[in-house]
Amino acid sequence: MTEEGSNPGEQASPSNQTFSKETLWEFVPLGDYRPPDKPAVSAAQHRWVSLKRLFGRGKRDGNTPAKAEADLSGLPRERLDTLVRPLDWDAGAEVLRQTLARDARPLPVSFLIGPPGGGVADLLRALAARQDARRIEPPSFDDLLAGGTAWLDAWTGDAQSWVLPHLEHCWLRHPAGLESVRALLARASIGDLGRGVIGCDSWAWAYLRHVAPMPVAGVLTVQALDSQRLARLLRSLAAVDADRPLHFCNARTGKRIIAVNDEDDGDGGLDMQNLAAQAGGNPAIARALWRARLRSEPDGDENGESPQQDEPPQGERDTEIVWVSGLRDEPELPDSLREDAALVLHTLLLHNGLPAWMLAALLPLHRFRVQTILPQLSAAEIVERDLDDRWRVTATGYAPVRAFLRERGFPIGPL
Amino acid sequence: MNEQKISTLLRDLGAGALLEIALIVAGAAVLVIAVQKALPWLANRLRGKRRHFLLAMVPLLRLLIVLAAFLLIVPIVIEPSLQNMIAVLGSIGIALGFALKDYASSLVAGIVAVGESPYRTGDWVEIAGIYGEVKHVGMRALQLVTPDDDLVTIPHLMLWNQPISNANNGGPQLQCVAQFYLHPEHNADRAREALQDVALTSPYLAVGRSMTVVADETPWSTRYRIRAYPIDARQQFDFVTDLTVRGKAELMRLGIRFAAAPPLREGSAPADAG
Repeated sequence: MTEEGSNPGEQASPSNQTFSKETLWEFVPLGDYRPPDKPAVSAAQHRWVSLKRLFGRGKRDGNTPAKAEADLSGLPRERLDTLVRPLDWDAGAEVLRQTLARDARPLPVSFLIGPPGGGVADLLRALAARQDARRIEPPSFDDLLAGGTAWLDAWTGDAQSWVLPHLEHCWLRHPAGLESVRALLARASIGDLGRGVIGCDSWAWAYLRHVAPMPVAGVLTVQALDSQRLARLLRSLAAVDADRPLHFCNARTGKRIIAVNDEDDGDGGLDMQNLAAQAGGNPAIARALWRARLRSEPDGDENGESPQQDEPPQGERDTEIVWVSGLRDEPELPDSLREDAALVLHTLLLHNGLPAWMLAALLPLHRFRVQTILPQLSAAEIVERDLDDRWRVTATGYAPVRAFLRERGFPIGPL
Repeated sequence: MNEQKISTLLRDLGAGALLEIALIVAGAAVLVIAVQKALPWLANRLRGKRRHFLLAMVPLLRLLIVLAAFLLIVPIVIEPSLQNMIAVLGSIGIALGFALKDYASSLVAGIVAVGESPYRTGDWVEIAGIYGEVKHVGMRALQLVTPDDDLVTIPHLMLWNQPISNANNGGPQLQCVAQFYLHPEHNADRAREALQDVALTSPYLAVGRSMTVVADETPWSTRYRIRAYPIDARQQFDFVTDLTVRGKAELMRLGIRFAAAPPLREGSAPADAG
């Protein structure tokens, strides 16, 4: 993994050296996926918040953060890159390769399904590099809207194995946008395209099952991490000085969540259980949520006063402390949102992100309406715009959006 | 009925008894108002089956409250013996039957409507040619809001002799139909597949529920009908509009022509258009 190598790996902590990649990556049939248990306290809190929202009193304190947390500042990107290094996709790809190779009766095409932001495409890109397989890029929007199978015909025919990381980008929810994906899946399933692996977002998968010839076998997903394995993963991602302990502490309670380079490295407790549940046990989503919540004390704070309510662990003068903010909070959808926003969010999830102009083309909404809704959702940290101009649901916004759409009866992704 | 008989029939209503009756009536009224306000308010914050269940509970709870109040008041007013009860209730029945026949009929039909549930709050029904969403089921009448936002009050007695068409029957979803009249000369397989894809790609579609495209011939066209369910019954007009707009666009993209009625000649009667 080149990105991994570009980081200060020389400073890797002992825990990083002992962490086994095999314990992180486990690929199982989609039906065998088991999400981590939600902590009982967290589940009760969630129901209580839902009840308060039902009675119009759901404005959570999170909108006006507690002073202690509000006093914290975000970490610079370079520091975040050190504290939460990228996942080792290459290791995951190797485990995936071994899993596929173990299949006694290999199918012409295998599928890897994951939630939005779950790293399926990264894994398959690493797999393609490792196996020297051909990497198939999705067709353009113009190609999709033109209908036909020109895109498919252009890359088929050679015997080389191939990898298609983004099936969700190979179709559009438009009468003209289904032909190529139907042809692709029909030809792939009978071996016309050779041996390949297809990655697909879980929402697109759930929808395509109703409109295209989808397989029933050879469908894998990443098994969920429990809180203890997640804690080990996050410790392994922190690259720090080997002789200086690093503590990640809850900014609200002051309690230590996990530690690196310390005798007692902690199991994460309730905070880590919450994080695992919010991320559905997915390593990439958990990493994104963790990274988004790391904070530091402001530089100008000369008094040494901690923003937390309780004192941090004693006797650790040289210990570096990084604060973790709002681990139990999720962004809330603005109350002013109407059904139009549900259509926008559902369409974004089905396609794992779309540009605003294409969103307007797929929805029965005027373009100005789409351009009004997206900034509102962005201000609430529900969606964000990527460098490739696609609007996507954020990692922190995914869980509340999924609940919002499920409540309204929309078909949702299984992960 | 002489004075002695009446005195044995009715109890002596002192101030205490009157106060008791007033309290029962007031309590029942408060409960009925609370049920009629609180449950719809709560239901409108929910979606799907839970919303319809709560809305359907309103007339049932109101009926139970009224019955309970009635059963509490009767022993206060009447000496509770079988003879007395038959005499008083029979008299009330005859009076209502003659003087307030339609009103009483509507009240009885309202009780039957709670039991048989031909319509519930939140249902989309058509009664006597009026289509709309049931907003309120009262003791005597129900109120519909039509798609044009008109509030229509219909007495329950229509239940006795009018057909009542209920589109969703207590569920959150109802079937919608979008129609297309195409020129008879076209590739029917292609048209049907295109219309199926139009339905499958609608953002309002309840994916997983049955969806069909049926076709038949009329004298001037081939008629196609998409039958499908939106996610929520309240999206039905948006859904049909979306199917119509995108269906037209897709059929035109495929080069399929729409039917056009032949021009009328001056002085001639229009032909049967089916």
